[in-house]
Amino acid sequence: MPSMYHQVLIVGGGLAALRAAIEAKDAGLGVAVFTRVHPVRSHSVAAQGGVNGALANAEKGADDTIEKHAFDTVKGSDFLADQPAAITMTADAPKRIIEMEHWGCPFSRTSDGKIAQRPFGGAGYPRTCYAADKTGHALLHTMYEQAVKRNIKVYEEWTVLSLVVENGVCRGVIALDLRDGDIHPIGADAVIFGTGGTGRVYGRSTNSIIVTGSGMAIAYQAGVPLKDLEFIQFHPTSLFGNNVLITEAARGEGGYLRNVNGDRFMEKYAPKAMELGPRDIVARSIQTEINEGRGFPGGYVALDLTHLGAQKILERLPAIRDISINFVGIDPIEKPIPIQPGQHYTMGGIDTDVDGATTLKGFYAAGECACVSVHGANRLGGNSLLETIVFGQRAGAHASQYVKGNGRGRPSEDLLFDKLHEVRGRWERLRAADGPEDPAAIRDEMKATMIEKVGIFRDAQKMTDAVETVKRLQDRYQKVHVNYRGRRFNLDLLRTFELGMKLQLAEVIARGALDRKESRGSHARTDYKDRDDANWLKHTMAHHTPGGPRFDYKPVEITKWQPEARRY
Amino acid sequence: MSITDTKPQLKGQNVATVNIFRYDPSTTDEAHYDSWQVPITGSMTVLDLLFYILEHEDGSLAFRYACREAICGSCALYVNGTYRLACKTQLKDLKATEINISPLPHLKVIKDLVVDMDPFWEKYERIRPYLITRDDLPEKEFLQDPADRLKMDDMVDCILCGACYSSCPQCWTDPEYLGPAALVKMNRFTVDTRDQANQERTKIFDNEHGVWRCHTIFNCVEACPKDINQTYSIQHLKRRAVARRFGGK
Amino acid sequence: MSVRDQGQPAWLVGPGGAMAWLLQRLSGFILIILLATHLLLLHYGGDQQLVFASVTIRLKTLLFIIIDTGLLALGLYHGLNGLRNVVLDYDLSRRAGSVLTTVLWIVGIFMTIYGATALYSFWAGRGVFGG
Repeated sequence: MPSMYHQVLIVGGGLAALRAAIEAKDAGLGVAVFTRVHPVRSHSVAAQGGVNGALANAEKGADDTIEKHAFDTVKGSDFLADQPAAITMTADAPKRIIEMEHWGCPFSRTSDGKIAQRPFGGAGYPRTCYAADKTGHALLHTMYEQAVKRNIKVYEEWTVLSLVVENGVCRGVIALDLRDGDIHPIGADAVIFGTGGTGRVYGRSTNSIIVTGSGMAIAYQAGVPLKDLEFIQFHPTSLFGNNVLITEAARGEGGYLRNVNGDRFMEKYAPKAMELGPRDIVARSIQTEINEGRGFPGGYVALDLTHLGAQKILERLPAIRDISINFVGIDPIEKPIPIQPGQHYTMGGIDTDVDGATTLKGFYAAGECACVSVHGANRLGGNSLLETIVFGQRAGAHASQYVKGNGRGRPSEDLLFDKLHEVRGRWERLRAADGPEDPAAIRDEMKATMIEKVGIFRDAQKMTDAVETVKRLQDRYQKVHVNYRGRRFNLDLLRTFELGMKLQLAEVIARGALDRKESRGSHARTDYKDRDDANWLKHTMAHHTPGGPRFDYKPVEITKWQPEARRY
Repeated sequence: MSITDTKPQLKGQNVATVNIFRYDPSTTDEAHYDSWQVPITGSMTVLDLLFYILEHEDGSLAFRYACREAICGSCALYVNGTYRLACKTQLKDLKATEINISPLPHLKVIKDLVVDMDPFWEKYERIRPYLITRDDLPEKEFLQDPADRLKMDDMVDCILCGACYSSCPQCWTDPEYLGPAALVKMNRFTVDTRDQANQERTKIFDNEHGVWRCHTIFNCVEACPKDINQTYSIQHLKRRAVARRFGGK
Repeated sequence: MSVRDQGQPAWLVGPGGAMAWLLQRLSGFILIILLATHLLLLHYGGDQQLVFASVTIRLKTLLFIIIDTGLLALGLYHGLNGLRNVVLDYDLSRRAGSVLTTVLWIVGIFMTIYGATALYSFWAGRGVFGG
């Protein structure tokens, strides 16, 4: 059977991936989307609070500007963001958001009919456009509708296992069709990854179970460096028990955080911004309250919405209410929600420029899997949805240009099939794996280690432990066994394969964090409490080698705002 | 406090009998139910249960999952005789010591609990599920009254899980019938003040495989895990089709 | 196969069912009124004796004729369209659906005429049968 071929091959079905696909399709190219789940199941769907853009629609935000949005983003990032990238993102923001509205996104509205905007953490103005508290759902469904309109070919429940590279140029992928277990080589002129973050490397994660980091790991294995992966965002408010996300909008709409004594403890940590401080600061504050014995038994604090009144909660935060009633049996109209910080977002990722281009020709990345970097050491709420639609579009446009100028057409069958045999060999060896180690036990230990030792508060001792544990787990993984050897929809095998990639990423995160001897944004070390601009105002770059990651560093682009102390 | 992984610790005293539908069409084995005794804990959901079985009992089990917070629509299943999302169904709420889990009825089984959703997506695609505008786009956003936005509220909540489609007797007998989910999506666009394709849309739903196949049986409303009133949307479309015959919009 | 071609099928333009649906509801509504009137008149109104003479008198009364014609035509429409809907649930082809509809229309019209000849025999035939 001859191999498949698409001019632009998109991997992933979330917002960034679909936006890139739409852009390439509109450029007149042959496009196909390969996604592990149906596109509307992608993790973008779970985003709640909103998407930032300086539209200046809200009364209190009338003098908001693109520049102020960029500054808030850079300050939020603890000055690790590349400033031209932040400016690019915020400048594109109004265009992209209006485009989504023109495509039918059911945004909530102001009384004069404009897109409604609410205040969000770390932002000087109400600039977070929202559709109740289901903004990701509204955006993703709209984006998928546009993909359907353009008749974009979607390969559902296909998962990519490897890139195909020829002389430093990406020429396609090797992908698994989950439904029959066959592995196929697929040629392409350009490959765009929109594969999401690494959330499930951690325990206590708010992310979808499918957020495995596979895309990042595949790029990494193909020689593309991963940037700033040690910066992991912990969301202040995840539901106590199963860590389902409780949106920042709950605080944006006026919710209070209270400790066991009923105090609004944020006045100690961010007296001006209070509950609307940036996420890293609020998460640390909550964790400090819990650590110092002012949390509730079991380790949580209360998110109090009762003073907002039933009408506001029903209108603006209906999904939060459903989640709370459903999973912990508490109606936030009547009682506060028990919350604790949980792993939420991967600021780092595949190293790209503002056009999604990577060091590998013909290979692009956008969205959470990419690191442009606009989020630096801490992402502001509402900037992740924005990143997907802005850089999805840019990656799609740039990849299309690249294909039109440098497209090489179908790669040779030899190239594709050589790679196929290599990947299939690895896959088949794993399928036959019959060692003593249980993958579920390794996965559980990895997740527990990461959240405990490379979590909100870090120090050398804990992180050294973590690196050693991950190394040990990698060794154990070599002796793993799979329980099911069938081909059709083999979740056991796929999850075990993904575990191998997660372990690689865990090592990159833990080692990068251990090496970075300062506290910046989400990376908070108790043994190096201060930000160290003299030595560490630089991006961590992890390169794949057979023995583990090799690190070097890249300067941060500072063009407009000199680093200053972050006070909120 | 030490941070530990919050995966349910399965050391509970309570044990449930779990029967799960098994079928792999690529083998010669007949469809059957497998049974396990599973220790259950307080907040354990049906999805947790499936993962428990996958990891500790039988690696060959196939099911769909993603968000585990009732927004992605992957895990609609038929549990103890009711349509449910596995992720948001807590075992204690089932109030049963025996739990029967089947795939969505009336859809072809790919493996175990994974069904072929293609017929469902085909209907979705047929209704032109996207905003259609004719005039030049405004420079900024379309203005939309909050009251007009409110009219879409219920319909835009759909997560396309397929429970309604699986539950609808009209979908069982008429494979061409558009079905509840697609018609809700259709209604979402017909009430959207920005959409300008009412003429074409009416042609799609005003025919014998469209709204007229709905006999207001309300199975869809009962099945819907997001509490959407599909029948209301379909009746609304019927009224619109009639209005159009008399020159209405 | 996991790959599905997206696109619009050709069958989309249908004959529509809006008028049938509307008439079904209207006929149902009017039938309720007619039936109530019919029962009231028959059981509580005037001469309630069921003898040939009183029947002939009724069938010479304009109101009776109007009510019974309505009952006949609307009842047939309502019943036959209901039948059509039940049969259409079984996914008929476009052609079979049209044939069914045509046959039912012919049956309905024939039955209406046939019933009407009985109804009108005294009214129209005042001259024919004497009276």
